[in-house]
Amino acid sequence: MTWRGNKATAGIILAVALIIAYAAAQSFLVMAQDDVIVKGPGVSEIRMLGEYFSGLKNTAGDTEIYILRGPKPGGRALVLGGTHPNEPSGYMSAILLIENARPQVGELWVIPQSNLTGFTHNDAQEASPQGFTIPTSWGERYFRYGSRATNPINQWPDPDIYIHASSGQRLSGSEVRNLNRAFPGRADGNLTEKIALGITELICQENIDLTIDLHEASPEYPVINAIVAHERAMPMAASVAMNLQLDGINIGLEPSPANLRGLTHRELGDHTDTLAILMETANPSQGRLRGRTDEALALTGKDDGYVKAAQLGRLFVPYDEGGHPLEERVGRHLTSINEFFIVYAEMYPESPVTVEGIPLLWDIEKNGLGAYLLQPK
Amino acid sequence: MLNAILHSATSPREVIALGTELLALVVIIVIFVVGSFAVKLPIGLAMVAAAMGGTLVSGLGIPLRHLVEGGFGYIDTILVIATAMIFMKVIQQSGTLDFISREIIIRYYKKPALLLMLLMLLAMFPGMITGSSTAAVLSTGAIVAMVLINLGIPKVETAAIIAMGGLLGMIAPPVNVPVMIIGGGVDMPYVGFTLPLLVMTLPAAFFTVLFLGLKHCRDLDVEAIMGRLPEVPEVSGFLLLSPLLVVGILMVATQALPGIVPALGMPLIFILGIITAIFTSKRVRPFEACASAIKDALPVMGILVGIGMIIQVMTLTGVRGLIVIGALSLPSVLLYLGIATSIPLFGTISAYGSASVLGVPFLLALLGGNEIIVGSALSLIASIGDLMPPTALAGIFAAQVVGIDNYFIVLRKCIIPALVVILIGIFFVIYSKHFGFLIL
Amino acid sequence: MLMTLIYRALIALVLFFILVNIWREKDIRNQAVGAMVTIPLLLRLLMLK
Repeated sequence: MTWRGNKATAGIILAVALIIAYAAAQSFLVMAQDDVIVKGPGVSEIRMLGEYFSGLKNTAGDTEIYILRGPKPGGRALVLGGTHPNEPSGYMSAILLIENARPQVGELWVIPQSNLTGFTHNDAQEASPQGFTIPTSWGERYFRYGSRATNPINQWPDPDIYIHASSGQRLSGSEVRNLNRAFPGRADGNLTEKIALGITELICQENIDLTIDLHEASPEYPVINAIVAHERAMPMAASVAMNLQLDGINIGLEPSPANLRGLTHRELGDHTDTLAILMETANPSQGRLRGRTDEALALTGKDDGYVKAAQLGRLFVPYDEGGHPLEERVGRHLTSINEFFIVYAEMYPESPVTVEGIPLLWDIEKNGLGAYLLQPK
Repeated sequence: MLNAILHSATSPREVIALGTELLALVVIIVIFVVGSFAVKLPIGLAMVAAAMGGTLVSGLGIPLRHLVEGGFGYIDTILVIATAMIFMKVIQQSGTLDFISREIIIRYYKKPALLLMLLMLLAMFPGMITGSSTAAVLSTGAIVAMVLINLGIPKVETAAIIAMGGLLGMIAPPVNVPVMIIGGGVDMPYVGFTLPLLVMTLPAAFFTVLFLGLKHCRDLDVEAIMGRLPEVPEVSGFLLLSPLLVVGILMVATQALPGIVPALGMPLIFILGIITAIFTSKRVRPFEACASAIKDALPVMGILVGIGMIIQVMTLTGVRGLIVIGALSLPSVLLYLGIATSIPLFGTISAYGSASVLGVPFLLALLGGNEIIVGSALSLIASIGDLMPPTALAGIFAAQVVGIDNYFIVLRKCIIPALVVILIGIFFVIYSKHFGFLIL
Repeated sequence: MLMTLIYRALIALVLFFILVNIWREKDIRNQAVGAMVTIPLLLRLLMLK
């Protein structure tokens, strides 16, 4: 076999490379299509995060804030979804709140896609699905499955080392695009830091009393099925965890580590008056032990590798053939949020937040997620 | 390990699932071996073929999106390699390398052991600052190589020394990217690692250079050595050194003064060094330096794109999970053996990849020890991945720097130092609890 | 933003010299390796991925 090349073969090979690049680009650009989020009955207003920090306006980081106002005045709660767009129970819970929740007292603010640019790409070598489809009685809804981090198209190159601005903490360079390492944010910082600042500013300017940031973690990670609370929020979180245990929902409680900087539960608690909470559910589609990675894994959480790992005692959550379906993970988040509102109203009766219509774990497990997704007009 | 997985599979469904993942793994390996050895494809192309084979047997067709996306995993590394290679060509052309080599020998030839240890530190330095073994091998590694060869140390030993210097430099503080990657997976901040990493890397580094080099430079004949040295251009030493000074100062300044000096990144720092060389030396021919540097670097850049594809395909098809679960399935007595073998072996793909894919689960499996010591030790073991063919970033570039085509003869010289490194790592993993005092 | 532009220019530089090498190369296999590396570089240069 001869491998002799010349200018003609160079031209042909380059042409083939161009065609492949074009086709690949088409498949990447699919991720630029916005998700459809339907205004539910409780939504009074939609604002943009850029209204709170002008440096975000007209950038890929500016994202929608849904405001649900109750008829009676009270406190203000903020729910953050999509801080990590590869953790679907977080943003799906936020979307279900937008489409179903009806505050009676106080206000519920929801940012469903906190790091919007993270929804526009996937991490190299993670082989994530680009999205998933939820069946409903009237058809299907499609949602993107993004990346943990800001899209490099919007923030590149990464430094060799990411130095957290206000603490000097050093992390590996790619963490510079991790929104949950960028708080409280910086006006003259990178896009991720600007998004973080926008959220911090929103909390300060609107006097948000309670902030809940929704996440998922891989099942081999110690902080999972857990509430992480800033010290000021600890008494409230302890009550919530106890009530959830009584309801049969097994949930852990962790204090926000003082030396781990840039995270919502640490910086929002330190830099604003809000009570800062972060919650985690178990998502095998972001873990290192998972088998085949596809849409089904993101939706069902069924994975033989994790069943095996559980038998080996390597996991921090129970794991069997039933997996951890998205319904269960969203249900856990929403039930916990509901419990937070109840306990918050008891502990802070001068500024309660009372919300009806939140789908709870048992509702979602019975009816499916699709039952709580509205039909776009 | 695979045997262990198959025997432990319990339900029939599990066996079937393991079956397709195992099949994919076997197909990937077979196509890679046949492609690179029998068909004599370049390694990068053999990897593309292997990745496609893996998706085809998994019933996924040829998922173009995944293949190209995987190739993006090392795009920043590709830029570092390209610019570092150009920088090395340029300081070769300018005479900088010859000049430094001559100066070091004139000053220190009387104390060979001290000279060798200092040279090792010099070879490690860029790796310590940047966390990249490639940057080390292609910058001061090239200088050290020239000195060692001029001292009479054979090329093969020289290549082994600068390869080990590069990868130990990557692990030595202040910047150790593999441990940051491992830490990132368990939310462990990069604090308190300085002394543990020094204690682990320096003995290994000094052992390596003395073990491989000392016997060749006992009775140095300085006259003969000086006669062998190439002529240095008739310009001032400062001008000759300036490209290296620019790169060194910027490397240190961006790390030491964050917020004041912007994070330029290795590629830009190398480019500034290249520009300095072009302006300070008439002997530099920029176009040819770039063209020949990229020609030398292309096979490795191709390997990096190919590896990215393979990792993405391994993740997609479940092979990655199969490997991790297999490693974690080892009984506890064998766990240490598993760490000592699987982390360097996975390093055939890359040291960073190995730290992420296996380092994190192993650290989680070892919770209860001292996390900082265990993480440091795992990163030390992961560094050996940069010697493992086919990628062997540190090794292949070290061979290239001294002009050896066959990397395997260099690898053979690295075996004993590498074993010492792995043993040091395992020692600290097992006795991590006793070394908590190193954390300041 | 300035840094992004500088790095895109850097990618363009590397891409250019890869093309030079593909053009000068006498072995199809090495031409193919070069072409394979151009794909991610081109997509990043154009900020498509």
